[in-house]
Amino acid sequence: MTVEPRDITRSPSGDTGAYLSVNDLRVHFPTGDGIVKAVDGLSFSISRGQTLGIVGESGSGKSVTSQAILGLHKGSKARISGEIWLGDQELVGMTEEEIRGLRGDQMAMIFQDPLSSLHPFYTVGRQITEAYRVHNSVGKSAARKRAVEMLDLVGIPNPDKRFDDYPHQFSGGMRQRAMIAMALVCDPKLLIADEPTTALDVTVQAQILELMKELQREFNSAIILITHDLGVVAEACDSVVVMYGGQCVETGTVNDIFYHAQMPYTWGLLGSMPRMDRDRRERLQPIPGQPPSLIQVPKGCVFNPRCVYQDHVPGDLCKTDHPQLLMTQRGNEGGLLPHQVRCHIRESERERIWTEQISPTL
Amino acid sequence: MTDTDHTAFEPADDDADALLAVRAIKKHFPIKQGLFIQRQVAAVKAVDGVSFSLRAGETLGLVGESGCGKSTVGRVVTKLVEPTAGTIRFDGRDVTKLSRGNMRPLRRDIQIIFQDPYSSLNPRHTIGTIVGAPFRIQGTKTSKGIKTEVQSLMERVGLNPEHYNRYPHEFSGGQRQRIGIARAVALRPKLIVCDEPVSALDVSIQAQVVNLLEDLQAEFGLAYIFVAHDLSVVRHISNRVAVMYLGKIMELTDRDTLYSRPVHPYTHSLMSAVPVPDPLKENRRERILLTGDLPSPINPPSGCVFHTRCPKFRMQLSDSEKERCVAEVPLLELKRPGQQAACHYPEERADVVLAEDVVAPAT
Ligand SMILES: Nc1ncnc2c1ncn2[C@@H]1O[C@H](COP(=O)(O)OP(=O)(O)O)[C@@H](O)[C@H]1O
Ligand SMILES: Nc1ncnc2c1ncn2[C@@H]1O[C@H](COP(=O)(O)OP(=O)(O)O)[C@@H](O)[C@H]1O
Ligand code: SF4
Ligand SMILES: [Mg+2]
Ligand SMILES: [Mg+2]
Repeated sequence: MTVEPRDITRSPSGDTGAYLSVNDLRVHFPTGDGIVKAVDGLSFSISRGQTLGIVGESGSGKSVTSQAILGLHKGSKARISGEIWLGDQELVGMTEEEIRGLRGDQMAMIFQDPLSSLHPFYTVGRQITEAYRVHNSVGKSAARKRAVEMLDLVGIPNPDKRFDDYPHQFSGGMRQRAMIAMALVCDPKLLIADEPTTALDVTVQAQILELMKELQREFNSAIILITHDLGVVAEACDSVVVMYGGQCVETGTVNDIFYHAQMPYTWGLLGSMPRMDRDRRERLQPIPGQPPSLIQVPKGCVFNPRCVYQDHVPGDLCKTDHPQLLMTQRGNEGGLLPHQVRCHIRESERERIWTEQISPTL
Repeated sequence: MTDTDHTAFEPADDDADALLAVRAIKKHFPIKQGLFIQRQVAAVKAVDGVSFSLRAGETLGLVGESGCGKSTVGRVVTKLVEPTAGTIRFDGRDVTKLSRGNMRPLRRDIQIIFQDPYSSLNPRHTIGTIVGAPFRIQGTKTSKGIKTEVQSLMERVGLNPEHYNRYPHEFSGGQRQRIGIARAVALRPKLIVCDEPVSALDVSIQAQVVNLLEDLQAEFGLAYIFVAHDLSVVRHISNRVAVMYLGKIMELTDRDTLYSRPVHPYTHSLMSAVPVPDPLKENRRERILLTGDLPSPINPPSGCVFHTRCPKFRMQLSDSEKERCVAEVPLLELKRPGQQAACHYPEERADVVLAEDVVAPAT
């Protein structure tokens, strides 16, 4: 993996290695109760052949982010600002029609529930064929050939026969594979997978993650993998965005996040999970309290109502000032997604807490 | 329907002082057909000969892929469904065929918590009514006494007692699970079946609920049957663990043995599939991928139910060894002291073990 160091606050000029760049993305929903700040100032980049994980609790803005990239908020009440660059095209400013032309072709999506993208009344084969013909002017038989190839590629046995099956005739794992076949039929350069394995058993999850890796090698696609499972991130991702309350609170390579985490929320996530690969701890260390409301986002640091490390910060800065997402020493070494942390605690102090208090207890 | 398969499960961990002893239970759900006269044409063998026992204060973890029969075992044990065959002893009594009238004490002693607390909480009832219901049904307390009791329970499970008059939708998922837990422990039961109680919760909230369950267990001496598909959570909370596949137990042993030297090929596959939050370890790991889909419990494979997907069967066994897997049902029996497995060719595999602590040498 060789990637040039870059300033991620600058929009890409094509030579940075980034295929997708999200800059200061905001997605706000006006509702009767107030404005839901579902995504509030998010930036990240990803190059082809790479997998970026987005982790965070439910309601932290992961799906809204992916919907924004795919242009699925167009025509809704959502207020969107910031920039999303896909190659040299800017997506936030595009019309619904323009972005529809990219969807399914240059970028595609797979969901947790395959039935949300597979129609129950049409055969699996027909749906894949049509997805292909929307973006490629080929005849029926060529499209069928392509669909069978895809079903075969994703590991569906007897693809020629299964082509004529309806989604309900497939098992859960097979439906997930069929949806992946449909998403990939046009060779998208960007694949967004929103909790693709959350509803599956671990044995099937292992198969699907393996399949996604193989397909990535084959198509050199950029993958955004949204999940709440840090195990899945460790297995499948190169870099990570940790989201909390609609914001990125820590980002970096998987090595940064798993071996040098510096944000109390990331510490909390790591401390909450029971692990099969470590000595069994007598007690889990949960994060106290509940995730924040996105209508009345806490003043200061979004995490402050649940953070137990505020005594490492002078005064009540945590409650009054919103911390910036700042580059760490490690981040200064470069990389496409350098290590950055949003926390008022001094970096040397964060490193000390990680090394002395957090890491040894995981 | 004729029932010719073997049910001679060796009661290997028969335990005279067990709180709960389940022997060779089966639950077959009939599939009926016919326009006027409904005839049974087949059956879903949801649970097909399961035996285990549980001591007071102990936690038995139940893991396995969805559809393997975990919830059905839980529902049979709580007497929400009648077993097709087998016996259930609770607290020294055979409770397999209790009449309705004699159920009441059992209803108090055995409780259940579900994965989705929302669907099991009546949306039109306040928390006070929901958590207080067990007292009213048992008819042992005055209404003032009930309110005091409910509020102290709410406090105990980490809910604000002032929210006594609120409705389930006003609570978050984690808080609703606490309501379900408060209701379950209200009558100080001896056993709670926890059916995926934390599967739908975010990890940070999941840890809160797991800790609460552990605290309540210590305080009230509760025994748990903890159903989950997450092997890490099950390792954390269980004293012993049963691994299920297609209605049967494949391996049953204490937690440390299961996670440090499992012997059943199915346990190996399950463990090797769990991703761990450590990228370097993940890079080094080889997964034992299972092929194919789960067979139907209506028509399970002959012999060992796992043989159609078993990696050992596929890659390591000779043809004559394979014959045995196809023809003969492996009994769940002791392979080593304290470790039962249902496999003709059990074997330790160091490469699937993840825990850093220990690997005790094989005996
Ligand atoms: N169309 C919408 N209108 C109003 N609020 C929304 C809408 N879509 C999502 N939200 C809110 O935005 C927040 C983030 O949601 P989402 O991105 O789905 O979270 P997750 O991280 O679980 O995927 C949630 O509070 C959700 O309720
Ligand atoms: N009431 C029922 N009628 C028919 N089949 C059922 C019923 N309940 C469960 N089953 C079937 O029994 C099998 C085991 O189900 P279950 O015990 O819910 O598994 P698990 O909890 O391990 O996911 C599944 O094949 C399921 O479809
Ligand atoms: S009995 Fe045979 S098929 Fe079954 S788990 Fe053992 S080796 Fe595999
Ligand atoms: Mg989501
Ligand atoms: Mg279940």
